Amino acid sequence: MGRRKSKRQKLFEGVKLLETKDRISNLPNSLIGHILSFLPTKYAVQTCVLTTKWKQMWTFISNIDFDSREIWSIDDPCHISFVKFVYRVLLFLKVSKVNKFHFRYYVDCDVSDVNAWLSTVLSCNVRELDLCISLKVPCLLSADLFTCNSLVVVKLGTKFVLNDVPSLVSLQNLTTLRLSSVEFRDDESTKRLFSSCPVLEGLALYQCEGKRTSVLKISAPALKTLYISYPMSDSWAIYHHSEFSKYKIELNIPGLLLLKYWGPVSEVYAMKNLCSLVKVDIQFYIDSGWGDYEFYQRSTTELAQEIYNVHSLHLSGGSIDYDSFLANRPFRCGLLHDDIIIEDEINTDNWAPPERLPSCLKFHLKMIDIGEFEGEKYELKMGKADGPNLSNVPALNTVVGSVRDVMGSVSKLQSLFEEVKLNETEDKISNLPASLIGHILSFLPTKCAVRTSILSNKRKHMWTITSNLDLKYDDQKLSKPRRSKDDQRHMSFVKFVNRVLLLLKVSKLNKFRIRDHFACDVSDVIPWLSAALSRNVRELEFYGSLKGLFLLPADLFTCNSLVILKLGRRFVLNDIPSSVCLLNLKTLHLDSVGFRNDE
Amino acid sequence: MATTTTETKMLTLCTSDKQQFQIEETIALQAVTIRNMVEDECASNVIPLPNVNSKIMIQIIEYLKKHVDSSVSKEDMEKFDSAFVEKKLSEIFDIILAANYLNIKNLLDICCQRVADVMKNKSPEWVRRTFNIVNDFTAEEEAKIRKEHEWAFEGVDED
Repeated sequence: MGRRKSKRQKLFEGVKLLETKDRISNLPNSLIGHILSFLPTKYAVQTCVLTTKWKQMWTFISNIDFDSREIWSIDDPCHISFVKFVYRVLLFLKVSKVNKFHFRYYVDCDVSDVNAWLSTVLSCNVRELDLCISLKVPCLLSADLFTCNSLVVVKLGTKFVLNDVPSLVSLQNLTTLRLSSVEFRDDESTKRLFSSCPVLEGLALYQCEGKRTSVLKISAPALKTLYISYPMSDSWAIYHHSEFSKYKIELNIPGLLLLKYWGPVSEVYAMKNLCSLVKVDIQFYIDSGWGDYEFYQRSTTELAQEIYNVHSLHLSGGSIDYDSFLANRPFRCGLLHDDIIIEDEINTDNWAPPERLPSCLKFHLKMIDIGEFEGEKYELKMGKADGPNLSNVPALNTVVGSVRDVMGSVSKLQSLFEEVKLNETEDKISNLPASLIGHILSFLPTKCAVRTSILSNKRKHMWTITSNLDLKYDDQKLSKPRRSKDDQRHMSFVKFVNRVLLLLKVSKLNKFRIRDHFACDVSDVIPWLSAALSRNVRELEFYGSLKGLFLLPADLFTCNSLVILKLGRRFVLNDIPSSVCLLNLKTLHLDSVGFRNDE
Repeated sequence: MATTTTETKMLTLCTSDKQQFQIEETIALQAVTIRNMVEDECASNVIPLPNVNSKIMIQIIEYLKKHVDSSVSKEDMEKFDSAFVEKKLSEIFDIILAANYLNIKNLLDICCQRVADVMKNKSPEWVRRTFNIVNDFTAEEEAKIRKEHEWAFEGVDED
């Protein structure tokens, strides 16, 4: 028997679990408290109605976990009930030591409530503090947070304010500190906090803006990873008109292994002791319209000079003088680099491709990724002789371009490939029999396969003989609440799927796989399934969320070609025809499928 | 422990039902209670464990043997742990008690996590049924408590 269980099986597990006598109630209180500590606090408190013995049992929990992201509006009657509940839990709690305090809540809370909750848990010697809440007005972090020696992990967000940090910061055990959207009001506070944690290993400052500050100073002897990211804005100009171009970032971190900096270019990078760095990811936010090229170059090159022996380097947006940076610095040390990525913004007219690749880099370059390729002249220049001469790069074996509009008018990608030739002296792939090319394309996600239609006239319809379809709606950055932009993107995905199914020439489909976490219409999905079924599909896999419940079509159950069937989310089994005929079906996965009748 | 011999040192554990288990010392010392006993030298050759019966001891030794092996990858260890807790609840409770007594933190935690996973997202009625807990509240008492902790009872699926 396999150990793996589908969710459906787990549901039935409850029956198997039924106890014949009440063992749990007879465990010692401390053990029951320990068990309940693994539950979200809501469920731990619920046990109070089990029996009279259980009435107070939850008060022995050592982890507190409030997560109420489902409440959105301050007018929601649950909001008041929730706030009351938090107070009650903290008041009744009997333990002297809180291990974890997790809090997720996205309705604007009153600062006075949050302060009361925070100071309660701080007085309980809390070890791990993880707050992600929304506040009505900015909340000044109280002084006792900075002298709480029991703290090991602190994660705070959002709208907290760091100001007037006491001169005697005492966070002797703090190893992880993450601040999200915390406002820095004075230089002294950040300096005190970021220089007074002797065992701090991870520091992350996400979207933390400094108002009236001019320097960010971090000096931590044990720090291994440092993330700093500033808010992205549609117009970088805000940084330049603000004081940011005069901002100083001072780091003195001898043990730092990993540095990630996503932000605008600041005036001074004073980086001492960054000799242990292994991985660097720096992305500058550059306002191309603003264009003080000299300032960018001076400042970013200065930063780059501090980076020595890294194994992985990702630079983008800067205007670094590559010759002085790459040619001299890292390679002079004679180390081989695993991974160097340099991105240049090339969407402006005044951008010029680097005259030549530093010769040292030439022997290591393995891959060029042209982000969003639009077939413009200056992009094509990359591949031509007056750009970095790519055909002379011995190790180059891949050129990747992601094309923004798959079915769009981009037709020039091919000319780039011709220039580079990918180390091939002749076009062998195009001369393969069509069926073989179709077979090769079968191994690609359909999106990539369709992309080949723009390569040449001969390949235009090549993808239509692919026998595997693998379609995935891959928008990771699905914004909440959903914006019309997302809807539009998804609509173009739906259109794409429809097109592919319509144009597909094969009569026998091997695999049909759709993953789409964006709620799609039932009316879209039905024709997709039936198109696949009519093509004698062997493997059918559909994972997605559906807007409504979806009754599985009858022809699904009489499709003899099916060998593997995996279906997920909100399908409903009902009225299955009496003559189910799935002679070859070997694997059947059903995930969140409703059963309507026993038949 | 001044003298260390190259041959593996064995310990004998004696369970509540007077069964004796001979296991390697390195395996047994993962249990903090046993370690303390050995270090305090209050135990001679045979370590008595009056709170653990042989049936449970076999399972605990199985767990300790796996966890002493440093060559097992983290992934495999997690797989082993999740398979290990796939037992009847009554057995889990026995192991919780034994792990608590023997002071084996990770074993205690994976078993407690297992019990918590069974309770998670479940209504009190379901928990009562599953754990065979007899309700001794009057209807009024129960209603009163539900009202007090109102939010805790919102939006929970019945079963």
